[in-house]
Amino acid sequence: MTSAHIDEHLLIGYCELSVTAATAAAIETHLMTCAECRGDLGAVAATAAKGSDELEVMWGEILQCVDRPRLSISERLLGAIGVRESTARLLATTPALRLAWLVAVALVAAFAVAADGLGGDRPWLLLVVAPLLPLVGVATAFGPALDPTYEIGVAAPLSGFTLTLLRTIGVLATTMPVLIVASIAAPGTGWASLGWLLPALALVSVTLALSSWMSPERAACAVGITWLVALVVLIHRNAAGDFISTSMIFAPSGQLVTAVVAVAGATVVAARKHRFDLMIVTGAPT
Amino acid sequence: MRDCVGMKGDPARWSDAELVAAIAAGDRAALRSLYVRHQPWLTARLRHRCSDPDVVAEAVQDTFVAVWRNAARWTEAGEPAAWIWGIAIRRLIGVLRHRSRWSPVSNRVADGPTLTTAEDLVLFGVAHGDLAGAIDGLPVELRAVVQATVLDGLTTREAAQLLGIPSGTVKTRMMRARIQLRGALT
Repeated sequence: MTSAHIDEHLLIGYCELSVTAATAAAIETHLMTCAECRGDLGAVAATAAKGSDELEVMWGEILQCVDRPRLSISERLLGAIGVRESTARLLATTPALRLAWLVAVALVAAFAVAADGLGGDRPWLLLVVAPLLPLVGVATAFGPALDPTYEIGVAAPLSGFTLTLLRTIGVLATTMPVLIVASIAAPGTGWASLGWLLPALALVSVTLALSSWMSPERAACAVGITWLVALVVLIHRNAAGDFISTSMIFAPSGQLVTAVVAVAGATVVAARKHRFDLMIVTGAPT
Repeated sequence: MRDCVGMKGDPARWSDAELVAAIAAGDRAALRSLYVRHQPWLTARLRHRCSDPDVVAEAVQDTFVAVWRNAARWTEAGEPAAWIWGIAIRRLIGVLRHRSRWSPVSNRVADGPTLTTAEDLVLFGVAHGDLAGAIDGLPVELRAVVQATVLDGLTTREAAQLLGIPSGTVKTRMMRARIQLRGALT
């Protein structure tokens, strides 16, 4: 069989799975070295599949796969943890899920930590800055100004509320870990350096709530400024100590209040969720 | 079909190696030629390993997509057909695992092909001799293991995935198959 070629009736038997194990093995070993017999098998298979266009159908599907753009790393990662492909695409186009954004967040956090390290024994810059970063991420995550898929979103049969929530979760899931790591790395006071966590959630939640009235960028600006003003205003002026340890926001009572604000914001968002559809269409809810 | 890089003439006349090189450079006509040339035997051979035609079709399709994407990695060290087969059998395992549904090696496993290492060559000399009889005489489950590890060149782990059995079982079955073959041949 080495020098000769495979009989046609053997090839037919092979295609019909009707040859014995040893014969099939011999045929396969010969096929691997003999292009001519591979061609003959192709002819046999073509005769057997007469009328069927399986070959062309499969070729069409191969071309489709070949033409399809490859998934980005973040989309593949999301797919690996079980996120549907369409959802992964929605998330991956969030500006705040770009590498540049994450690097920027990490840098800001690192500078804040470094400044805290130089400045004194208690970190305060990080506590002030950290809640603002998720806020910026959320503000740029949807809406006409910065969302690269905004136009597509307008045309897609997609709930604006779903998009908003997805993107917000995406921003929080990527930004918060970076900030938490920075807080743990920060010099000083253990759990107190995570005091920004609840305020951050509150700011995001209120921004979302306000977004149902105005554009997300405007809402974020308003909330951010309010945050900075509140920090300054809510200082016990008579108490001794540095800026942060005297600000009520980071005291237990203040934390409780921020938690309540966060819940209140979320409630408003839930109550006004239909407004987000309008926002997708008009750019700002009217 | 368009753009034949560098080489002249009809891709259908090129050697497999030339086709793979052209595919690495992004030539679709070359992929088409390779597909027409290799799709039938790949499909036939995979059908001897898996009874579900849909699974086989998906594996073959994936194989050519993988060839398109990884053609640059082919080292020209061997026969492209063997390289493509290596991709195909692993894609079959991948598809089976992905569907997490096991369709046994083949409903024709009793007739499925088998072979053992050194015997590869011998078999050509004695296609109808003792070895062929010995292999055909192996119990189905032993033959499937010999087929996967020896003929298809899979690792123990890959064979275990293809056959849907634990790795340890593959090893013990391989051992039993060796003993039986030796007994039948001496």
